Amino acid sequence: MAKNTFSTTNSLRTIEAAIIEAKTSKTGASFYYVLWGLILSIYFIIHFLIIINSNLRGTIIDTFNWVLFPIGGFLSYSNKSKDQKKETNVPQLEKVYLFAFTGFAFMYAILTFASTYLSSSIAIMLFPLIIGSTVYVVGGISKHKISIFCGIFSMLLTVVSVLSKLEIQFLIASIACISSCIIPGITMRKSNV
Amino acid sequence: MFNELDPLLHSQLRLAIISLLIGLEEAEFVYLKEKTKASAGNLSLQIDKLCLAGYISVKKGFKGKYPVTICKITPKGLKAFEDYVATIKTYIKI
Repeated sequence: MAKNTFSTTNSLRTIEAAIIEAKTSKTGASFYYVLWGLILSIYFIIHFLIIINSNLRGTIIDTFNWVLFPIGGFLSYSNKSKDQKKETNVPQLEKVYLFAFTGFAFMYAILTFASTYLSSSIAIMLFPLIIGSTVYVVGGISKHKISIFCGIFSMLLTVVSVLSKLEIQFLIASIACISSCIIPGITMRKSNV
Repeated sequence: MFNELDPLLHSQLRLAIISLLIGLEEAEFVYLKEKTKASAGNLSLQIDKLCLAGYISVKKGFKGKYPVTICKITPKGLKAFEDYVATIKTYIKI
């Protein structure tokens, strides 16, 4: 197009079209939400079952449930490698997810240390709060309404968790994973998040 | 009364490149080519102009065996874009 026919109106149309195109780029976050939601949910359910059924103590389920995490790490890594081969752009939301969830991991690690030091179940008690708040904030930034509502629901579960016994706290943590991770993850597939 | 529009950005293809990069962390050459529907030669030329002006940074590497060119807007480019949009607004108001 000749330079002298490029009007200000055309400029605005070009900018608008380009920004809309850039917004349609997906982050692929839905896979990680569903994967880690499932892993954490299963992990907490296992601990719930072990507490209510003492026959499960010392079994393979009790001894090897930690294996879920390296499996999750391997699946995450292989999916990331596959994505990197295909993807031709990096949406700005990727940084948001990176900082939000590494922040969540730090919080949970510190709470776990505090639990051990204080001999209390503070980490599992507050798990719904920290996962819910992380998903709520990310949902707000990415304008994904389901993440916002599910994050709020998960945060509210903390009230029940605080008033419950340890085994119920594990069950509530599992429900929080379903609410904060699996449900938003599944619905994200259809949206530009 | 009217500020001059940045001649580097007042070009459809260069403006499209910058506008795409505004909304992304970074983008590959193939992505920009797909979205702008420009020819490889013309796109490469415009990217070089923007890079020389310091509006975008260009990183060349490999993805497996294939060469890849990754573009990212710079703070200078972001400021230039903001000034451009502000100037356009004055034109539209009048």
